[in-house]
Amino acid sequence: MSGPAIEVEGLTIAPCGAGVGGAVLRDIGLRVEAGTRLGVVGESGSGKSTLLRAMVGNCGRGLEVVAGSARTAGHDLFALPDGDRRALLGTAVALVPQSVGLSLTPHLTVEAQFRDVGMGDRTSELLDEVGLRGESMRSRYPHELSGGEQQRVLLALGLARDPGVLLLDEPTSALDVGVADGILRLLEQTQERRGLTLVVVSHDLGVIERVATRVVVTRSGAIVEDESLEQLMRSPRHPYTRALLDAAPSLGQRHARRGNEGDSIASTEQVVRADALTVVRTSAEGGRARRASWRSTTALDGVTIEIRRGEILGVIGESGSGKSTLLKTMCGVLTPASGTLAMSDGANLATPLRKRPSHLLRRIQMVMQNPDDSLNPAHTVRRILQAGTSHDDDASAALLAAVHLERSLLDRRPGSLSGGEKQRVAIARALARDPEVLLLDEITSALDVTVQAAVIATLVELHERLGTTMVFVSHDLAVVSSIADRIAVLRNGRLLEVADTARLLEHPGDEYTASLLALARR
Amino acid sequence: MSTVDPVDPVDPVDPVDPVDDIDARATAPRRRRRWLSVGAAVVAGHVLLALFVPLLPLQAPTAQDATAVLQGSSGAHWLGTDDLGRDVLSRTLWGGRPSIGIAFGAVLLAALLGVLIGAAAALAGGWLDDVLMRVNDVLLALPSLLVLMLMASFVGRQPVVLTLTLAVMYAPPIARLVRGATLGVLGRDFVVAARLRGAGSGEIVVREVLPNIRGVVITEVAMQFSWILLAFSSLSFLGLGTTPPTPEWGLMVAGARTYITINALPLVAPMVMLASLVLAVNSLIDRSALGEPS
Amino acid sequence: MTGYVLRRAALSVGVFVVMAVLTYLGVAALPGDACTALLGRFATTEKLAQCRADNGLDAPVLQQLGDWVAGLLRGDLGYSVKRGAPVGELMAPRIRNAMLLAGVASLLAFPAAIAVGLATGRREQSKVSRTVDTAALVAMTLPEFVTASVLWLVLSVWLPILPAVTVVSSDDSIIDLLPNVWLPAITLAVLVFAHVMRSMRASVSATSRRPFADAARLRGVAEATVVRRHILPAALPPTVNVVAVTAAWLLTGTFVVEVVFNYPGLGRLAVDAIADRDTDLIVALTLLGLAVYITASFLADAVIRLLDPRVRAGVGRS
Repeated sequence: MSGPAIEVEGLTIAPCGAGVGGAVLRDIGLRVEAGTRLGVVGESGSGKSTLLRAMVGNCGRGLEVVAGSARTAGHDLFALPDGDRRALLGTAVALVPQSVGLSLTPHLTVEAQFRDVGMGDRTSELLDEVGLRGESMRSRYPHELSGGEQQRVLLALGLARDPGVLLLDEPTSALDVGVADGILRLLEQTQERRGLTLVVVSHDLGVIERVATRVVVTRSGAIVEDESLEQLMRSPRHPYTRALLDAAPSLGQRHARRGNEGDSIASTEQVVRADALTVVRTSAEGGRARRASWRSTTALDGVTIEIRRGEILGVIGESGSGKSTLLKTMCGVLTPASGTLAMSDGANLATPLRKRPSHLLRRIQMVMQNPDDSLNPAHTVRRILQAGTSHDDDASAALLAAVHLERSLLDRRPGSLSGGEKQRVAIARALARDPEVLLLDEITSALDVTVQAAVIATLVELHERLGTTMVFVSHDLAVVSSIADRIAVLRNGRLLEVADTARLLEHPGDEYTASLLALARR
Repeated sequence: MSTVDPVDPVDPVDPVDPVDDIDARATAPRRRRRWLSVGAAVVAGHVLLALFVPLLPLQAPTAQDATAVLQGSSGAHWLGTDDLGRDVLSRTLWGGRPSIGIAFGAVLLAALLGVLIGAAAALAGGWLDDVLMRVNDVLLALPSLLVLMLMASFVGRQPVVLTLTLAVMYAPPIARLVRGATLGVLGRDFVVAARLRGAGSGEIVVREVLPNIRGVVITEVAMQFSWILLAFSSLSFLGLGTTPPTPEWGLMVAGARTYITINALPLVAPMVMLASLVLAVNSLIDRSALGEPS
Repeated sequence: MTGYVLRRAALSVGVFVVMAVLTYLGVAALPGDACTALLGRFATTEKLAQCRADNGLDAPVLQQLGDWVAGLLRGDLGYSVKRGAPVGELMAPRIRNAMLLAGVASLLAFPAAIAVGLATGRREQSKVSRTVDTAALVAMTLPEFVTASVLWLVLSVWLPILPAVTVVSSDDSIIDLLPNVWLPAITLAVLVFAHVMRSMRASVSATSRRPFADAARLRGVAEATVVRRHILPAALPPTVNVVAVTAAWLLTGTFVVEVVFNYPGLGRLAVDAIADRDTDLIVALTLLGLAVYITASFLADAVIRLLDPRVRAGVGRS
């Protein structure tokens, strides 16, 4: 094929009837040479997913092309009649969409989905190519597959009819670090073997670094940077790209205000201690059956750990490791099956939330992962901050100021706030009760990387000022290592090791920790 | 079909990803608003009429006149007369009072019962939830018109009896909805946050849950209002609701059917009134339900 | 699957038995009985006592219940005081008529409703789709006696296509009944069509917007295949519930329509039975209604399990 595999010129896409003013993509121009790998990185709402869809000639519901063109594999996609355009899907260019869990038809087996594109008899072969055991996978339903397996199936479906161009939207976003690494390795191998032109969209700069040779940065519907990877990493031209690079911490890089181990405020005084803590979680099964059969898993298995006053304790682990369970048990949402959990003065933390006396309740507060879920959409910020306290507006305004938010937010509702603002209100709410221990459950995982950096900065500042003990749970080792004094590593409910951050990074005691470090360093 | 509970068609397991649902934003809001105001006006009109009709200068709705039977529209009787010489206009305007009155009373009671039972079941969980929902299911399984006929026939047609029966028969769909919606809200993190600050279950229901389910509950209550209205009119139609000579639309339709070939007005007028009210209520529900992504 | 079926069946039978007892007691507890209805308001106390003794209504309630349950186990549904015949005999021809009516209405309504729902659901915004939906909404919300009367006016009075009032008795053969089935069946079909179509339309529309439908299209799967294999099975479950409820209603809730058209089905029988305070007959009809509803519900659940593998596997709702 001569000429670029993908060529976009002056493309502007806007909601139907909205005109250029409300454009989702504004005057986009880029070229992707055949056989190369392009990464598209941007935060949420930047238009990167829409751009990817435009490369297959699909606008998305409610959107229309206002100007410009997109040519893929030599065809001017938006100028083609519908039938011709559809014929190209899967054969010349294939798109692997995001949200893999929702993108596979729930009532069809894997094999059935291949049959739909006419590749039923090649099912095993294609599944083997993506690293799955074809024979056993073919008759499974999507809900029987893990996230990584679903991603691989979608990849195989995309490759089924041998397209020359492969587009992937957030291929690793919901996956654990180890699984994500496997997927990225698979992508590299597949691209080389088949000579594909690859375009990968991600909000995660790390993924782009790994996979792409050329990078395009999107922001608010426009392309702000279009560079080779090395050029971008070395000296990006646009300040926004600079901000993105700075915002994502790399492993071992300490947050500016946290300083090094020796300067930390943490003492060795214990504030919370868990001994052989075991927590069992049951999940209801049975759907429509009246009598549910319960499946129980040991979420925490004999964990013994102490939390020291004034420290930031990082808790790291993959999904299912029990890190969230640990926090939920500490604040009483879950109760231990055995073992003890208590504060230094003996106050028993094994009591369930509903039974805790109020003076115990206020000592431990939590900030949760999803800012959309943790604030009541029907309440104003004022109500959220003042509920259950005797604070007046001045006190609430002071709390907001502490998290760098304006007093005027008191009258607003969560629906009108951004993700970062919501999360900061959640932190302010937790602090309103002046807790001894602040639990932070993946508070930045749902946020864009620049917003994440701002929230972390606020958190660190608060820690400096108030000296509150904090337990910071995350799957992101880089973020945790930048602010924590000590790090605890959990796996399948067991505590593998806990050590000072610097020591853990240099000399991990456990093999698993070492593998996590290796993955984070890529 | 007063016994059928319209089922919510959206699959609760996999909600539509809101980011993909762009055309929900793109639908014309202006058209929707116009219908909403027409519907609201009609409903308001009916309610006001039901309340204030005694103040209107109308002929007595029960006054019979054997000399002027089944007459067409005239100066004295704008909508003519029925088979007993009664003024159709007057009876039509008065005809909404019994059904609207009872329907309002019944739906308010049903809403109260439904919210209490649904919220209790959702909060308590366990065996209480099971028992309450079993009873709920049984009540749903009973044909409501059958039970109404039974009560009206055996116990009596007093408004109190009928209102209570209607309330009990129409509370279950509300209870089921409230339970489902409450469970949905109880699983959310802000409820955990509320518990972390020491809020008790009662406070959680009132301050955290109710403001968030208000929209769906009101929609469901409005829907049940229209079913109750239909049920009561059907009951009157079957001769078991309002006692003659009190005018009521269902009763009037029943009486006028036999004389359709002579004079259609006594049949058409009450039908139009009843139909307009029910349609208006449903248009309000339908449009507002579309506009509220709760 | 078999385990599930057996469990549900056992549970349903249990519920039914409990309901049977409660219904009998409930109806028996209501003031007045068949004798007060039979003999009228001015009956003397002696006549009432005599009537009750003749019909076994003077025994204590629990004994009556016991007798009735014993009879039930023998297959004897009781005795109608007013009509002087065993309940089973009275109900049999009515059940046949009811099934005829429900059958015709179902054939008219269900296939069309699902097809139209599918077609309009795919093009939700089009004028045709929205008009059909509004028309269905109108049909659905009008009282049955209004719809029935309007259809009667149009089809029987103005354009006399169909005969109006039925002058048939319940024992007539099906052939004789056929001309008289049409009007009530069409009325019922209109209502059922409206409910099922709207449910299908909303469900198809929502399902079309789900990511997996989009993903399939983006893979180049032909639109017809996307609709048939991806969207339809996922959109059906909520509509299956509506179908079950409306099908049950067609057998048990048709009182008004049968009265309007004087059709000799179960609805008419129920209205008469209640007027006559015929306890055994009322209880039998109520229980039939419950049994129909429970069975329909059960069948609906079974179909949904077949359609959705996640429900089969017992994947919990998060």
